[in-house]
Amino acid sequence: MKRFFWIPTALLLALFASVLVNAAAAEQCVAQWCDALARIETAAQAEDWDDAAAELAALHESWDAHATYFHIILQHDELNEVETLLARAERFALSRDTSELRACAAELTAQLRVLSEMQKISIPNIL
Amino acid sequence: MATAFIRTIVLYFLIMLGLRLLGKRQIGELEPIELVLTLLISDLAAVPMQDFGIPLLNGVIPIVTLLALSMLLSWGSARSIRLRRLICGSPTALILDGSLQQDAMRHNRFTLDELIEALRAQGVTDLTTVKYAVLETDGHLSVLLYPQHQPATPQQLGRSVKDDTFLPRVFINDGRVLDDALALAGLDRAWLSRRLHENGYRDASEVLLLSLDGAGKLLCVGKEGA
Repeated sequence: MKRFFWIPTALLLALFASVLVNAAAAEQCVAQWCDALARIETAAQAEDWDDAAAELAALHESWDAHATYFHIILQHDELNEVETLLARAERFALSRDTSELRACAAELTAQLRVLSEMQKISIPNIL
Repeated sequence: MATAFIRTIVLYFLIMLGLRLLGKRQIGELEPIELVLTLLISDLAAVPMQDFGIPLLNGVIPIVTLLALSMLLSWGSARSIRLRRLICGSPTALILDGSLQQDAMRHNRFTLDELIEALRAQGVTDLTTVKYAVLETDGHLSVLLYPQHQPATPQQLGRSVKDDTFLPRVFINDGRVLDDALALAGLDRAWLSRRLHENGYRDASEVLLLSLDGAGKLLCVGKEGA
């Protein structure tokens, strides 16, 4: 009889723990990517295009490495939006367009923060 | 993930509360715990099935949460009468000692027409023959007639009856011999083979059903065309 208490309780606790871990993991990834985007913006401002391109490539690589994980936990539309913005940023870095690249990086930062925000336990999210 | 988890818990209790407030009439055959589960799970499963842009986990987490909550509440209500009353409510007598409980009917929004209909469904057409009518927590109406309107039992008639109710044991099901059932009855394949020959069959594969009840009555049904 006690298993009818312990099994569901353990399941609920495991789920709760996993959503907390997931929120923390998503936030950590997004924070790293936002830092990289800030560096890209600074490099673009300083017209250091090699550095900007290298940072962008590293960011894209890191994004690709986490793509499966994010596809498991997030709506795919949101992820497609990030993919599009990343591709656009790479194009602007290649054409060495400072203002467009900075605008795109800002948009990408905002979009990434939305992904992280969606995973948090907060009243606005629940309501 | 977190939003799906918390929202599921909030909505589960909200629907449960709604069903309790709606009363027993809305439930019909299911306890509130079962009904909430039935209502929600099918929808939750359908959404990620149809929309490929939604992660599977968005359906899995609420379903697992609902199952766990439901199991936990079932466990709690089995252990605590107070919790059980809170979740499922308690049975209400609509007819008590032959008198209509109009307050109870109003409280459960049960009209006289509905009461008569429910009684008719149980073969009762005369209200004066009903001693008790109880609206159960699953919305079902249990009816107890006055003794003079109930079918007489052999005991009431002072007669002794032979107990001839036995549960038959199946030994052959659609041509397959159920060795476990044979062993449980203390029989073996040799006994089965003799019974098959007595009934004109060479092999178990020719038989659809072979069973034996506690009185020793054997039922052997052959397969068509065998």
